[in-house]
Amino acid sequence: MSAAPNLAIFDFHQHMGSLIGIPGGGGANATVEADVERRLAFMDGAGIAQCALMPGHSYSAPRGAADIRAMNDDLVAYRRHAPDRFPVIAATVDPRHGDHAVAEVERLAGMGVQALSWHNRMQGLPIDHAVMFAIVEKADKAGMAIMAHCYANGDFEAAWRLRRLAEAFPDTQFVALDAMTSPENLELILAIAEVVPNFHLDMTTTVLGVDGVRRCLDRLGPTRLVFGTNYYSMGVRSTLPELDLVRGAGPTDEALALVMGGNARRILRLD
Amino acid sequence: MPGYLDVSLRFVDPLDDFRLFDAVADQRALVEAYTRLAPRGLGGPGEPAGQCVLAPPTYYQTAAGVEAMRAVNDFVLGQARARPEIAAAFGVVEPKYEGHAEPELERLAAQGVKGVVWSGRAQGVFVNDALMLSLCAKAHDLGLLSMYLTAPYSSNEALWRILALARRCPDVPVIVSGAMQGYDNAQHVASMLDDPGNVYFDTASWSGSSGFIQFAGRLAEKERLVFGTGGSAPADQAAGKLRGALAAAGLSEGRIEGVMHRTARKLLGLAENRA
Repeated sequence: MSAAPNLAIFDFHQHMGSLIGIPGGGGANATVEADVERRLAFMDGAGIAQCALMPGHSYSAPRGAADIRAMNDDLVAYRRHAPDRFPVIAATVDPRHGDHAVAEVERLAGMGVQALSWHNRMQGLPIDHAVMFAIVEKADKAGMAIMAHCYANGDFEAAWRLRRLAEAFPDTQFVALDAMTSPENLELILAIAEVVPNFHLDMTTTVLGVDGVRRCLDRLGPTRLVFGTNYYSMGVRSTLPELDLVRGAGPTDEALALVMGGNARRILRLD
Repeated sequence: MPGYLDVSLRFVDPLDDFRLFDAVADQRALVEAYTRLAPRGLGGPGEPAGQCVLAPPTYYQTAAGVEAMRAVNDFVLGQARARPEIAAAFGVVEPKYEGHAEPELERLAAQGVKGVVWSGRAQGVFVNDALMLSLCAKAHDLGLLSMYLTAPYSSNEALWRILALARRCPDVPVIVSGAMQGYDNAQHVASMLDDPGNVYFDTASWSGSSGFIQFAGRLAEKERLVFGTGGSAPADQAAGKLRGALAAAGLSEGRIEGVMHRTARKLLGLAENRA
């Protein structure tokens, strides 16, 4: 891995936990201490100064809303191990919990959570379900950012569904994660971002190489793309292609600084 | 009138496929949803001898976790016991409720439920994951028939994933519900008509296209096509439409009877119900 410590890199896309019911799903369970140690070693090796932490979105919740509250509490507690490195928590609420999910947003805002995140194809309802509008309305009032996976062919997490939310809440910042997971998906997301100013994207799990980044910068300029790694708990990374892709796209120094951290900090109101 | 068995009648809001039913608070709405779709008669003069297998709503509120899952199953079972036109009930089990999924399968089997419906989309899993394979095997061991929902453009419950799962348990019969909903999916079914057959298909969401009828006969010959609405239309109406189309396509009365109820009754171990 090639380090770039002078950029104050912000990783917009890290997960705590693992995935259930998803073949090849990332992550492994471990003690918090072991996970923090491994994560910080990864970040140090890659020159990543800070990150936003999400849960793994395919979880077991047999106690329903109580399990989601516990998972979010764990995320907030995790931050305390290194608050300067994990300044942002992007918690989740389960859309299938209906009104209980809406209520959880208020609790999270009171705990200092700055963003909400979803992987709707793992969470059982579409991004643009009526429940999601009610949830985002609460998040909007609390000044939270919205981070939603829009994996290619993801059905419930299709980018056009996220667009409906972004247009309904123009003062909230939305980031489509996993945007570059197919050429068609990126085209769709770029087309949306061109006309929806609060719509951003990241490059995690990209299949498009340097061209995906170049295309994004060319169409949208440097202010709409954020860097992310999709690191899961206890992950082992020998390479960090996302970093090389951004550099390989040949951005100006100013654009590089925005993509690698400036945009994320603005979206998450860290500045 | 000839009989039918709708193998996949489930609670659906006609204006919202993704309505999040609450198994406790929305019982009136659930009953209304069922009543709109239900077979109207039990073989009285001039009436169809229609029956159905009742399945839970695909989307229901899960804020209470395991208790919500049990509540929706109990509601479906209660309806099935109270209504003579309901020949059997299917249940739902949340695959990701670790430690609670298999016990719920056991509870359902003990209560006389005939099968379980899996939805990769609603349950947030990929249907061909190892977790789903183990639950399918467990259900089969308990005498429960697994029904998998499929939807066009869904990755979680893509038809190919269900077929991949079925190939890994070739001795376990499974029903796929909704494969006729999209052109590509219907073509996919047509392309694997000669594959070894532990996979059965219902007719839910069949639009009436002639393309389907062209291969329905071959599925019917193999006794792998079963009538089911998936809640997409009132059962009587859908049964009449399908029967007419199969007859127009030249299927024998015996084949048509197989599609309309006999194959499903055999799969589910249900007795004939003829007027």
